[in-house]
Amino acid sequence: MELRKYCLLFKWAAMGMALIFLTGCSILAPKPAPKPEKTEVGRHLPPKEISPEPVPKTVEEPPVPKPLLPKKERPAEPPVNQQTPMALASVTFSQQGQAYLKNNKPDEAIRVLERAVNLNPRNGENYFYLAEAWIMKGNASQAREFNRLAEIYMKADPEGMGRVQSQKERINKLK
Amino acid sequence: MTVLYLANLTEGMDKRFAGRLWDLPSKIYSDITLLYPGQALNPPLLLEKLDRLGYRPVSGTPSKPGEMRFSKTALEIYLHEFHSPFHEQKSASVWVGLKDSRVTSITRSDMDTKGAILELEPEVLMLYYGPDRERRQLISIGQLPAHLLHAVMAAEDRGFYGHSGIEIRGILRALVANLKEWEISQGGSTITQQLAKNYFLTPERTLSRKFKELLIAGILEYKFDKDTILEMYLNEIYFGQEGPVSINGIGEASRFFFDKSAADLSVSESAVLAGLIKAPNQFSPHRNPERCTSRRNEVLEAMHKNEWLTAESLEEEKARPVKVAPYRGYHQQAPYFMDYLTGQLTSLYSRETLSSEGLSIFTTIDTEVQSAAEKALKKGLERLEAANPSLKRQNPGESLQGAVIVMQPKTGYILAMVGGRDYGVSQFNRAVQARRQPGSAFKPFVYLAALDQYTPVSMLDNSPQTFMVNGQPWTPKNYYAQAEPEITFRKALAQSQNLATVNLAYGMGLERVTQIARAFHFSAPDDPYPSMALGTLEVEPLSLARAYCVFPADGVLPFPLSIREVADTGGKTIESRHATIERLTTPAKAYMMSDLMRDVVRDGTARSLKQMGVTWPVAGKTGTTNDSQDAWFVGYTPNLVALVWVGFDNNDSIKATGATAALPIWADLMKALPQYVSGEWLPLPSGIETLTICADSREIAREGCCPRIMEEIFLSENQPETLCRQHECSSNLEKVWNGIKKILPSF
Repeated sequence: MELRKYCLLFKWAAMGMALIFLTGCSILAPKPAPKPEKTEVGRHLPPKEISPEPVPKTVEEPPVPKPLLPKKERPAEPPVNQQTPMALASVTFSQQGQAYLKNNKPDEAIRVLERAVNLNPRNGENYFYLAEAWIMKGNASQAREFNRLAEIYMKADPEGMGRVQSQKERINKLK
Repeated sequence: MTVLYLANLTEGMDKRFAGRLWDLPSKIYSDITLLYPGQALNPPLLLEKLDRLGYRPVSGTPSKPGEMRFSKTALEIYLHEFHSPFHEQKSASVWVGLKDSRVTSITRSDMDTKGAILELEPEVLMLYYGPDRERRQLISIGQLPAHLLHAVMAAEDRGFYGHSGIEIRGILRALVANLKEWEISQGGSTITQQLAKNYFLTPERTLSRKFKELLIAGILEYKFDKDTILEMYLNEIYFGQEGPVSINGIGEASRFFFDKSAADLSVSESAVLAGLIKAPNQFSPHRNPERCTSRRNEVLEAMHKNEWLTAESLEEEKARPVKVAPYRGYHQQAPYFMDYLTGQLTSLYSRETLSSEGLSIFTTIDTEVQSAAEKALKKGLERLEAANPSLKRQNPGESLQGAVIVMQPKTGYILAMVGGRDYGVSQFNRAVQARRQPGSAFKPFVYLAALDQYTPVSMLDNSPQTFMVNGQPWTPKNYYAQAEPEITFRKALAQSQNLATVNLAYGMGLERVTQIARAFHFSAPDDPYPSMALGTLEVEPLSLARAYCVFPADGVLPFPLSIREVADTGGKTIESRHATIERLTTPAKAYMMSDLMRDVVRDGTARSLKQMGVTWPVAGKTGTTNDSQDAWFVGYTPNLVALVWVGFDNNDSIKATGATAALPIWADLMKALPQYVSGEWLPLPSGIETLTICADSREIAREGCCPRIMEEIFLSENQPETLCRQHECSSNLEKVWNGIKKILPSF
């Protein structure tokens, strides 16, 4: 009977120590969140690490977790700048298109730039130059559509975005 | 009076005849084919293409234009010369290194650069001669062997070079025979007369027409020399009908019957073709081989009689069996696409212009994709019939049908169009002319319309309900009765749940379904009805394929493009057609739909795609209509959208679903096109947030509190803002305790 009492006491004491220790740890160092359990609804997404969040010092009020920052890319997919053979092949047509534009040949430029887009739909430059060709042809509505596509794909490139913005202004001036 | 009549006839004839002499048919071309380093190839399809382009395999190194050598490690090819407004191809030898059916490098003899892109010239798909789809390959008389000319003369007009266009003896003989029956039944025409008859006159047999024919023959002989007349005759003469196409001219006939150029015809083959002129279908080597052989022997005898063939050669030639190329139906390339294209072209040019001014029309068709689509459809339909013999029909005109369309989503280029199983049997182009219910293949548009109000984790009521439609009760059903009574938005689309979709449509308002259908250029009634959400609005397959382009194309709808360029005989561009696009939704919504439809392939109704060998990222949607009248699968990658439809023209049940009937065809098609598989998925656009949410409450997860969390994507403007209310931790201590409970569950 006595032994059982001591065991129970020891158990509570051990638990209490563990609790204090773990609380201390959680206050002193940011604790990584438990790995998300795979659920049926969530099967569509690969599991990912959640960025650690510092625990606030006050413990009276329940903490308000901030929504996690959106991920830019899914881990399972290749990064945008990874050049596939198709993407590399498209560069040739992209350059041809730019050369045609320099020579004031918008129809020829569009012909090859469309080929470049079909090979690599992720390259914003192709949409930018397609918009240029449509400006040259005086077609504001098509120029606007391609300018918008350029904007989607060039958002990570500040220099490119500058060009896209100034292109947009030129399009708005078109009748 | 007579003089005036003659002058009038000559003038009319000059007008038509001189024009005809210089008539040049328009040539319809496929797109060019690209080969570039790193590209995966489908060697059988590429070799077929090279064969159609006229590249012949040689055992040594190719040394002349048109020669090629293929091995596992290299494709060596000596290019033809080709000029078009956008493709200048010099004759040069090219070495394409290969490893495991992938291009490793390209080296050209005329360029220093390694790693250059090789652009193979476009293929001639059709020569546009006129509305009747005549097939003809023009030849010049100088190319033809003497024995062919002799055979034709022996069969039709042995004194051709001696008479003046009319043979009195022949006419008298015919007259006597005809007088007996009191109508014109016997010809007895010279080659010149036959030419006159073919060019200018209707087929009726009257005395006045015969008279006119004689007059024209006389004028022809006066105006042209014998060789020109014979050449025109050989290019014009009718050699029979194969399916919907008539074969005209010796050039086309030799290609069709012997699979060789007229210049290479042997004596026996020449005699077969010459014998056909009299009655092409009666003496057809495919239909009546015995009669064809005896007619050939008659021609050979006549050649011998005219001393154009020695006695020994006669015996030798007569002993030869008539060997013709296997009957290919008349394999015209992409015939349904050609009909679609003709419709587009005739809105630009008159049929006369197309058949006479020698235009070059460059299209978007990729013949490798077209060939893969035709093969996949044929194989898939045969497989379905083999699995279920009740699908077979006695009458080929009523057999199980299908359609395939392949497009490039960003530009709307139509790469392939198959409008039916066999163009020879049925010319009805199901890809553009059929109006069918899309069934569940329409659901993505309903879900797209709902994205302002719903998120992928919104719960939808999926329980059976009866709706009143025009005073009548309507009780839609799920495909599987044991479906969950409540289901998430994401899962409802992946599993194609009908009840959840109808409830969704009611939830957002049926008029939104009409609006979205119209925005996507489907025709929708003014008064919406709930079954529209389940795809009961009829659509043309091409419109549906085009509408799906919006999802991989950042919310932009492209115009379906078939013509890229039209050039005149001088090679000058007279018409350029470019991709034109129209914004329909935001890139974020388009991406969201693609992400939802990836689950259709991952976990939903199209999950068998993986077992079929399609392992790269794909999104899509199956569709099956009531009583399995239609089976659909529309699937896409960032590079291609492909639609497959299977059904009967008379709406009989195909006793299969989109997943079992259309999906395997789609898989076969995509696996045959490694050159279009980049393996990439769409990049995440702005306006999409990835959040960690509680799987139970579907609200923002409380870190350390919610036992089951998951990631989900949301539109920035429509994302959950509330923290999980089911799992509230009162303090950090509780969070820690939760953590401990997880670590030491058994303690």
